[in-house]
Amino acid sequence: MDKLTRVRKISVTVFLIFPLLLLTVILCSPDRSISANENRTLKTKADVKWSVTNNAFQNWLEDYLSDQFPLRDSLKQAEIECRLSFGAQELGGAYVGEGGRLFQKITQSDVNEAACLRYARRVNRLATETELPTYVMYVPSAGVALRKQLPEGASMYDGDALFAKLIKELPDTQVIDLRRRMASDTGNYYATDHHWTAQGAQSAYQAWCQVHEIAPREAELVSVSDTFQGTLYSKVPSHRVPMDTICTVRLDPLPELLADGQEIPFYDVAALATKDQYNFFQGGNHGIAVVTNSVIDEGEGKTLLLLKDSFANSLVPFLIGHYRQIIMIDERYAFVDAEQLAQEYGADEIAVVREIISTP
Amino acid sequence: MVFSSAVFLLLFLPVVLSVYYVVPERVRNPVLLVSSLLFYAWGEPVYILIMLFSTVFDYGNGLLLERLDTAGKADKRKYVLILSVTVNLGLLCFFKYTDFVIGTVDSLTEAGLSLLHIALPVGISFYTFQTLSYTIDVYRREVKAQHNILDFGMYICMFPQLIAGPIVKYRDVERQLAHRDIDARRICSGILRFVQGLSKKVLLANSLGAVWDEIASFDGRQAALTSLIGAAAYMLQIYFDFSGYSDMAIGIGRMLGFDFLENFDYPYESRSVTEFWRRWHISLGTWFREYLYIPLGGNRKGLPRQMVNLFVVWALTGLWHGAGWNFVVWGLYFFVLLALEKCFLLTQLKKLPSFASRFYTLTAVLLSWVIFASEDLGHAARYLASLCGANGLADATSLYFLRKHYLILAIGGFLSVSMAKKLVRRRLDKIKNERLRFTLTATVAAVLYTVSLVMVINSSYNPFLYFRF
Repeated sequence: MDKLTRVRKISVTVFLIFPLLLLTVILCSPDRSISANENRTLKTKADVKWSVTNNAFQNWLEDYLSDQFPLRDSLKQAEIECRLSFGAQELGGAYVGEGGRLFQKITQSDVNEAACLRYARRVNRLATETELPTYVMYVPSAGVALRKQLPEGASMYDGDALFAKLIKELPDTQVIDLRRRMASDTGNYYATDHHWTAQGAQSAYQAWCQVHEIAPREAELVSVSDTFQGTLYSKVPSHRVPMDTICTVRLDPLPELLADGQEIPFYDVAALATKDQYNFFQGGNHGIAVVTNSVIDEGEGKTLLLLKDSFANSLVPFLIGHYRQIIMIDERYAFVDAEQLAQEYGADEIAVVREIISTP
Repeated sequence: MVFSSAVFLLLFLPVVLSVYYVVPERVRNPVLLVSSLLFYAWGEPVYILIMLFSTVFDYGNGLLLERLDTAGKADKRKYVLILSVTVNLGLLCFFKYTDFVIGTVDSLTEAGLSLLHIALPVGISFYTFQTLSYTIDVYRREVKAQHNILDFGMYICMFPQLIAGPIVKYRDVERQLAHRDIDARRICSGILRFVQGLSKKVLLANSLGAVWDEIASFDGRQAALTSLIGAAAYMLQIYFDFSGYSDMAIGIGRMLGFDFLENFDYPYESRSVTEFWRRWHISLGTWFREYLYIPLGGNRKGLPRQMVNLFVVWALTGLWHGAGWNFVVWGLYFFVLLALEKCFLLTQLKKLPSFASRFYTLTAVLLSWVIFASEDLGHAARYLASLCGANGLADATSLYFLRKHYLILAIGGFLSVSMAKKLVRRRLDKIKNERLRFTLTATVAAVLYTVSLVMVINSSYNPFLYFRF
């Protein structure tokens, strides 16, 4: 056998053995069950499904091999780094702005305008039917507020046009316009997550006080974590993306929190040890969460019915000082009749706090 | 099962090839048949029955044609042919076009008919044409009927080209069904070809496809430059996707000892649409020419008849690509261009400098892909209008897309013409030591294979975010 033929035979052998070797490694090494970065469970041997008539087994095997591939996270990171060094400004649905700051890409077609309008009409109806003072606080998406930080020409939905359409549907409420405040400082939003920071929430709180014609309470911001890598980081897991700091208001005593009937800590310190540290605020979202301020005696102070998404979670620590109770309703997790709840809890005010494009 | 999947790359291909090389030659065909059936059943556990039916049916038709010949009943042979064509095309039409016909009738009559939602069996357009080519060739006495059902089954079901071609004609592989030469040189050349195709698909086509998808979703509200970027991306995507698939099929075929004919020959270098169709999806063009255009009379019965023949061929070519009016229009668009070229344009084009005739061809083809890729004719019309500048020539978004995608468009454009290959070949030819040359090529292929595999795995990286917490 001449040398060339030998080299060829070796090449063929490598081409056949290398994938089989990888396969053996995948099958023989212990399974990872969770990918923290992706916030999802991975397919393991225990999930195997058998079926002759449908593709359950086939799909399982395909997912299993990809999910348990050796060095999976590092390979993805390598790809991301590679793309970033070629100047990528958009990865996995996130824009990469100045200094590695990430923004969720939300284009006009991602916005369900009809649903937003429908929801606004419902809120207005609630205000007229309950005859309670009703406040609507729409939080601008980071990419809209901090537009200048986006890569040049990157498309986002038209926040002003949407805002204008929505307030027309809300004549019987008081809309708190946060647009200019939120646009004024990059520090209002996290660099690795779509939420606002304590600073952003505090600024919104000041706007709240302005509309309520009350003086904002002194609030001391304390840092609880400086290793936060949020949902957008999961899309662009790169060392070029800076870590975020989570701050919050120091509260003493802490308010009591009854979430879907269970007493849980208002500040969930355990969440800081998990991937999604934003769950520090009330342990994440709940259908109905009742926050009680024990500083104000029962029977005194006001009760606020708050229809909200996760943005409100970090705002409530600021608001609670002004109320005896805040009833936080996340309509994505609880199908409730808000009017009935307002009656039940004896609400004095109703407020909506949510990202402008989010609907239940 | 698709080639660019973890199961195929890590499990199916290496296992099948290893078994195939180890077993004695007489067992290779059964091994290949069984693995092909497994390959098909992997994604279509039920529809495999249709493919098996077609296989057995045309195996029988071949034998029947032969028996009628030996029995001296040659005049009955045409009934067998008609039966085969009717049943094969009937199956294809039922699965592929029923909903299309219902939808069209419904929109014309507003009768409120509901669609049957029939799922299309994978590869049916390809294997139907393969079995037809066999029956027709036996009818024409160009090949002998195959007596071994395993060999015939293997020809129809062979996994390399089963799902997306090339359409292999029976006569082209008849001899190889019985005997194939397999040696390290051919296997290596097959591997290199396979890796080339895999990287075309995974590294180029997939990224380019995402560009088109995003821009197409703007539904014609974009500026002309944005539309151009989208259309160019699609033009390159479909080339790398399809020719990449053909490369993989030809490569695997070679590893198994088969020589499949080439399916693409740098079509984007063509100097006329006529030439383009001689270099794009060659196996389909040849099939239509041999089994439809020429039997209809081709160009031998005068110009008017030739035009009718062309019309029929291109309307059907359009429909073959998909059940939708945009595919029909796409086919007829080519009919018009080809007719014009046949009448006078071709001679004019030949007088032009090559850059001008190439520009004409590329523009014509680019526009055709917009029709082809759009969801429906309305979408295509809006996209074409934006391409013509209905929303202005360029805006900030266009420049963003240009910055974002110029690199992949440039690389894709460069690799879609033969210049790149020629440059590499010239460099390689300077290396006189054949072993060094091979080692170099193999190393590059190993890198491309690894990167492609990683990209296949990485595509499963899917951050699960409850949208808006």
